[in-house]
Amino acid sequence: MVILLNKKQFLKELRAELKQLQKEDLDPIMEDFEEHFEIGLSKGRSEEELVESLGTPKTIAKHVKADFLVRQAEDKTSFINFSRAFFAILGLGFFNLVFGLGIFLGILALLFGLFVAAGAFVFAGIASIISPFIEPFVDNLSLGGMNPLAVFFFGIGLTAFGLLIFIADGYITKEFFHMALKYLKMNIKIVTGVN
Amino acid sequence: MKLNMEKIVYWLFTIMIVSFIIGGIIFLISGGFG
Amino acid sequence: MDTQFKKGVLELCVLTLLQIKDYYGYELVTEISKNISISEGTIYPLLRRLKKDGHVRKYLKESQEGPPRKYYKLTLEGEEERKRLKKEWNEFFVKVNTFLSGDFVE
Repeated sequence: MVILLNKKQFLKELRAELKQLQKEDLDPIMEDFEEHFEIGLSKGRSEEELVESLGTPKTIAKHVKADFLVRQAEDKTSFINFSRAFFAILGLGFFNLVFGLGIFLGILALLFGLFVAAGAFVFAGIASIISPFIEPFVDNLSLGGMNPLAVFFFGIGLTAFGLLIFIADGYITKEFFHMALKYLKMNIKIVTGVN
Repeated sequence: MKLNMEKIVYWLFTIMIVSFIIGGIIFLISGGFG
Repeated sequence: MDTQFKKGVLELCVLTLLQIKDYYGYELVTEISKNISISEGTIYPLLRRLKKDGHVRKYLKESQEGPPRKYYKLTLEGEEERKRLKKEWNEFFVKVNTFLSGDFVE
């Protein structure tokens, strides 16, 4: 024989059945049922009627726990799947890795070289700007017969040129890394997608 | 401070062109490597 | 009616109702139990699962009759899921009917 509970007993039993749950999972569920009772009562239904239509706390708890376990299983599976995919990429893509890595490093070296060149231009430019002024005082320094003013202005132009190369290289490098990352992600997606 | 990259690049470019032109003119007038 | 089967169907019913309009918990529960005899209490765990799966979204809305109510809204993913479940249901329905009417190869 089923003994009908009242609202207080119902909620108490429900909470007891779900006590293994974390606060952040348990509280919203209790809130849902509190609200259900509140609204039901305000519509004139009796506590007993509401309790009867809701079902037993045990059954409800069973559903909640089942959902929880399913979700746990799903999360576990995705981690295992990801690990499998990761090692698959490593194994399968060994040749890709070596080849791709080689190209990647090559381009990286090029971009780095550009930075160095930019720096050299800036250095040469600044040196050219200063040299007309210090030339009279420094041995072995000669302007090559060029008009000091010309050297001065060439220096400014060269410095500006070096800075522009530096900035441009910065943008290119950023884009390059961006694309390399995209390519890597795409590869991962393909492997995990197939799996 | 808001760094406007476009503006910086524009000014660097202008300075570069103008400096090279001025320097070039002076160079040519003064007889080059004389 | 088998519990597992009911669960899948229940999800379809909830999503279908939410496609029509946003419901708050109590409303949804009573609407469904009008047509399907289930323990109303099991609908709340279902709603929680739908929210966790990203198929529905919860929001609070003021109500004249008391404290603000938690409304449920169908998300874009939820609409996709609804279409998928509806398709599955229709296919199942057709297959079962075909079987029942005896139109299968002996």
